[in-house]
Amino acid sequence: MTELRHVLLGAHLRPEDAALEGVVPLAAGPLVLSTITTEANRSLASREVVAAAARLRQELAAREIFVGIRYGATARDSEEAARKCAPHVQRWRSLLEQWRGHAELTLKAGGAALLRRPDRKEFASGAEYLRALQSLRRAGSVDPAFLDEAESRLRPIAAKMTRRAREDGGSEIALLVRREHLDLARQAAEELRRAHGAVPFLLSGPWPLEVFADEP
Amino acid sequence: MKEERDLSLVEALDHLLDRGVVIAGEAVISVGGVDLLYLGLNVVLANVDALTRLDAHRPPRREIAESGQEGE
Repeated sequence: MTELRHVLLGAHLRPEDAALEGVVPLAAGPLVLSTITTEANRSLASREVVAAAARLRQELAAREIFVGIRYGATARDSEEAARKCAPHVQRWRSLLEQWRGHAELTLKAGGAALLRRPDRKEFASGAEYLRALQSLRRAGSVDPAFLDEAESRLRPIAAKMTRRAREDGGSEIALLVRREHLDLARQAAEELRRAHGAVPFLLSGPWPLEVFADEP
Repeated sequence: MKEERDLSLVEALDHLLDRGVVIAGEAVISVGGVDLLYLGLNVVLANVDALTRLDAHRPPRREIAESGQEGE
């Protein structure tokens, strides 16, 4: 019989929050862990496993907030999963009770990831290509005035908001909003795009608790 | 529409691989604080053109077979 293991996706307050086809729930104290199962000897870098995890994570986040667990955490069974999560469970429960009915959104601005990557074939030499990549990274920094305006538009909608720099040179605003206000957030982003068409940015979500689960 | 779908996929993968709470003791995919899984995928995704160039310089399959080495 093929040995299986569970890849942990997140921690949920109620069983119905993790009830989704393809998700195997495991109990962890007062919480429920969402997991997907895979062969124990199958690489976590397998395209199918990564794609399934990404898809189910998005679908779970679309229904209710949960604590997102960094991809790569695995467990043989519910006992091992509960043991690994035990140090975090009380804090997670507190967060999930506090933010139930909310969703995390992120607004990424600038950064090399949102700019068109140069095509190697357009350059006569590797050195020129590398210089173009470095220029792209420098071009990714964002005008603070744009970020200030983005925050001022989103603040009335957000229950909580924070800003941080990204590794690719861009900036990111993370916010928690009530689920019934998601469309208001998207509308604010559209108004921002009309006012600042030249600034590459992306509002995405709903996501699970990620930035706000990391906070001390 | 395809561009929107591609961006959505990239975002979903970014959030899956580079976000979320790290369970203490899980060191399966990181060494020295560097997430090897994510780095590995990022290297592949960012260097498809390099892989394509490398692939173009590989000897033809028939020559590999004639040399007695195991083929693909």
